[in-house]
Amino acid sequence: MTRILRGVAISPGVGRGKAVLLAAQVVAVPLKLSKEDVQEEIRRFHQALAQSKKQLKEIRDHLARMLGKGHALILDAQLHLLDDPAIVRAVRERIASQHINAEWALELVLRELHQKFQAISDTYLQERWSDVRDVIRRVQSNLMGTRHEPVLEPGEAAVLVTDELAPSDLIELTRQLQVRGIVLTQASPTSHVAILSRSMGIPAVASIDNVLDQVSSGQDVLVDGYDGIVIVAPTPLQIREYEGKRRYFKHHLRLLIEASRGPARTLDGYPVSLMANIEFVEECSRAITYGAEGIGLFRSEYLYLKTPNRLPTEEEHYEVYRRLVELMAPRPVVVRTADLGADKVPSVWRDFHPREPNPALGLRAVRLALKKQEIWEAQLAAMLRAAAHGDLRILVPFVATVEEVLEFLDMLEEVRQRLRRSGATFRPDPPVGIMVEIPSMARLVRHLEGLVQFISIGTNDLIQFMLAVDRDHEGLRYLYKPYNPAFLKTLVEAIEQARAVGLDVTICGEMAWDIPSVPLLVGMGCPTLSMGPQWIPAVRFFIQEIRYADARKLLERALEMRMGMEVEEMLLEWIQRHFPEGIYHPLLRASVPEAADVASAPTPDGETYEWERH
Amino acid sequence: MKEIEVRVVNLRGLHARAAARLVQTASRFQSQITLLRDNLQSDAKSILGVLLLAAPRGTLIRVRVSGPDEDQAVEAIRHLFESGFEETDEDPAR
Repeated sequence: MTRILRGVAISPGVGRGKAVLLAAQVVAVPLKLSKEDVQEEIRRFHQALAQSKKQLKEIRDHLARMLGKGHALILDAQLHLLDDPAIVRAVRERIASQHINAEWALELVLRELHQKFQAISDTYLQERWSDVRDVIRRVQSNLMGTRHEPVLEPGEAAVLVTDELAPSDLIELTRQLQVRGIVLTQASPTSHVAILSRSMGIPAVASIDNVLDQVSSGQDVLVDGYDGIVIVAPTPLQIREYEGKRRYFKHHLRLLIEASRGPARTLDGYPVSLMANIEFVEECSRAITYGAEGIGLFRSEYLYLKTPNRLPTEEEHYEVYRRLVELMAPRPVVVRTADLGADKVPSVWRDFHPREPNPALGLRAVRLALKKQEIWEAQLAAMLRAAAHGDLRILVPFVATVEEVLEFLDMLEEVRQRLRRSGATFRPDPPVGIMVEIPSMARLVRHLEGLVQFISIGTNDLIQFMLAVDRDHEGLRYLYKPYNPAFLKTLVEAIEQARAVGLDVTICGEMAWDIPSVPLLVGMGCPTLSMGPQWIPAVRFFIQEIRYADARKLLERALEMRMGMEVEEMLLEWIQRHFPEGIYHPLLRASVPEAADVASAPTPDGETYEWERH
Repeated sequence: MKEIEVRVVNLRGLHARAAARLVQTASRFQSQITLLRDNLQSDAKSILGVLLLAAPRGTLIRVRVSGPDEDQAVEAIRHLFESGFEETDEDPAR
């Protein structure tokens, strides 16, 4: 029977497939064996172990090929467990002494291990627990012959249904299945799984309570990641309707990409370079499809947050950065050193990073880096090494003073010397830049001459600090806008100072893909805008339709105005004159400011997954 | 049968890398090797067992070895503990 479930859209697009229930509980049942059957049961257990090993090796090799060795390590850990006497011998002994079936023996061992794990309050071990559980469940399902979604034919479309999903699991599953949709109980639009599903173009809906009880394995499921709707067993009419919706967005995306081929250049020939902000290596292919001329901002925080109980090693950093520059070659890749602190503090750091009353203004980013240099050395060393493989540039966030720049450069020099001593291959002098996101720094840009090669203006924080407004404050949305003349003047000053001393400039905040702001940025002569890959086609299309001369005039007028409201009105009116639908022009719709809130607004990027493959 | 007492001296205790090294070393020997800490006991050839000892720096561990190559095994394990599992400066939390 058809049922409609309502949740929150976290990744746009429409997808349909057979439900694959991920937390489908493996239920082991105790069976008493006769004495004669014990040997046979142990043989059966070893067979299931061998089968599990084979499966894990296949997945591991596949992952290593697709994503690099780093990702495959998770599976190595599981493979070792299949040889571990604490599991293998314990199960064998239980089968032999208690005359029980292998599934139940595994269940008992699992429970016993769980108790032991719970007795230890070590977060590192808690992580290992999930490996133990996964591996034992795998052996159990191999014993029961229920392993791996027997409802699916090879190549058949799947919709993942589960309580919550780790980004690494999602990546693994997309290698095994044609994932066309995701339905989750938990996950917010800003969670990593949401970011990842958006960047992989998989429609996703979250916040559906007890979703595993509402859908059964193998059922036909339609996921509407535009409006947050999940239809279980849809009627033929609903399927046709959604096919229409899917086509509508796909069509617009295609138009948009086609309409914006070639460089972003205004009608009067003024070029603007468009780059992508990304967080995962997996987003590179989409950035290229959408015409990014490079990665303007690679956020490295996830590298730290995915292993909160330890620090990522230099090799782990290096593997990621090397793959990035190789995938994007010959385009540049700007890697930002971790902006940790503030709201993101790995638990392992709590010793030296106590909770702060006002974390956004506290010990974070470069401040933390200078205080605990050893933490950043691995990251910097990896960056210098990866720079030997491609055009990698180093970006330092949250710089408030020139002193900090000098201190950072000293730290970088120490890393260089260490690499020299160790005989590693590295590039000693990749371009270095700083984020200009604290108002003090915006006015000191010209003093960076000879110290750094570029600046990247983070408009989100710059607005937040200039107007003293928390950007997540619901009731203060009206203040958190990029149109305030004081803010615009600061931006102009920073860009002019940078140009005067020959520094390259990128804008990497939300303002870069806020369509009404684009003429202002073009008018300021900002050479590079960096944004989420999905916004690039719309911004490119828009730039191709305007003139630099007009943009310049708009900027001049804006700088004379008293109020942000007047600036905003002028810009919207101007756009209206050029596009009859205003910012609701279908090709610009992807960049309507409200659409940045993916939870509520449709954007066309759910459709690319399939499209890119053809 | 031989029995020795060793102390965990490396900074991170019997954690991931140290545990893996211990299991690797223990597995080279035929002898049965058991680790005892307080009232916990585990097989030195089981990574899970070693991890579940959850032994931080400073922990005293008794190592009980019995088998044909127990002399060599005892020495190898003693060396491993005393050298702090030969943790190098690659360790990011050094």
